[in-house]
Amino acid sequence: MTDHDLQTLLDFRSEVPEPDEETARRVYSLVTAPRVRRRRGLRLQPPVRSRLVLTIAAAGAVAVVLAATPAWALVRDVLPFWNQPSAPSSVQVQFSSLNRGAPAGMSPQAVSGETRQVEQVTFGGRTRTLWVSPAKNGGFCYLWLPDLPGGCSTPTQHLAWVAESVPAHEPGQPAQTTGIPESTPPGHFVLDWVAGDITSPANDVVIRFSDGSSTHPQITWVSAPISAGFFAYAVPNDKQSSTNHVTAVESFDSHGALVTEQSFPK
Amino acid sequence: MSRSFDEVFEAEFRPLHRYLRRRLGTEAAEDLAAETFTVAYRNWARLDPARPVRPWLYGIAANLLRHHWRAERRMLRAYARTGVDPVVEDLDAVVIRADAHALRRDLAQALASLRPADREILLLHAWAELSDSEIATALSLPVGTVKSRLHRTHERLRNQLDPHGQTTVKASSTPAKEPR
Repeated sequence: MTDHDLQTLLDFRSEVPEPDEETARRVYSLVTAPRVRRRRGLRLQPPVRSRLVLTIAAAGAVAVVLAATPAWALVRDVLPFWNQPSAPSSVQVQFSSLNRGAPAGMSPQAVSGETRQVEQVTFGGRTRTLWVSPAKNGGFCYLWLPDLPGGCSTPTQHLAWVAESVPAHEPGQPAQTTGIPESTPPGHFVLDWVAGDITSPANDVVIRFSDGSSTHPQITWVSAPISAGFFAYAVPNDKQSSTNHVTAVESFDSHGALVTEQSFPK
Repeated sequence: MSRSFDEVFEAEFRPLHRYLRRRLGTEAAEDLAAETFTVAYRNWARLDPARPVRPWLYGIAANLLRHHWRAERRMLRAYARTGVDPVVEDLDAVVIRADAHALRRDLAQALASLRPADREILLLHAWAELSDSEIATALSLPVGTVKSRLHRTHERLRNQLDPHGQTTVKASSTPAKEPR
């Protein structure tokens, strides 16, 4: 390599600047954000006397918590995000593509390398895995893989959901399982699954049907930096008909007050 | 004396980000820089204070970059083919002289044709300005291996960029003119 070649190499892309202060601050905050860590397999046993003291103290604390905590908080099991299995590179690539596909200035800035597996659910005979990544804008992105969509949310969105619609069938008839016929008129579609997320103050999700019934899908809570609950609900066949189908998805806070309501068709 | 994480972040984040941006463009650079420092932050307590931090950081980045080797090669080839460098196209009004531009395209093609591991060593040397021993530490290689690979890569680049020694002759006999 001649000196000239070496100089060309040194000059190559040398106009690329260092990042600005704002970028450095944003990344620093992301990197040093507090994390929930769960100790596995290691239990330190205190001496017997102090264990007794601890037991009494713990019992007192539990009593105080029981008296002061609403019932919903006691049954909430929060998955520590950083302890979940990391995503393989094939999944990380799909999260990277969420950033690349966004219009200028609207990238969700998913941190694809920090994607974690949150849960697996089976419906419609297929198992789907929920993958979640934090985002640099303070929100998060998620995908139900291999075949369902996902999205990105910010902390100010208290309910976001995605769904897939199929042609409604007549009551008592089997659901449409193959391609959508061209003759299906707009407005005759119903939802066959609903998946989404909620963030504080939303604490519960209700899916309503046109016959007046409703259901509360199970919510999987994930710790910071995600700090959100995720749900996926496969709509039963008898609720995919022209007379009985999903009409709304709502979120409620811990006191039962409505936070967000979104009807279908939207 | 060992430095705190904050001190190291302050000193090393910007150059590392720029290095990664030269390799892969803005978006991937930010992801990779964040991932590099996340790994460093989590393992900070385990870092031997006697070890230099800089090669360790670039070693983490190099491991993360492995997942992007194909993307890097694709971008280099795209630049060589089209003359538009995806890495710098978002920068404001970059003016490059025509002769330098042609050389850069040749260089991009040459870099794309290198073995990824050799390209890694070359760019750690040229762009990150790591010494041979620092590269050896970063990539967990013997120093001798780094030296020989660097030498081989230099030779290979020279053959590709300047197969008949023309550039050297041209550079010495006809100095580049300043644009008027």
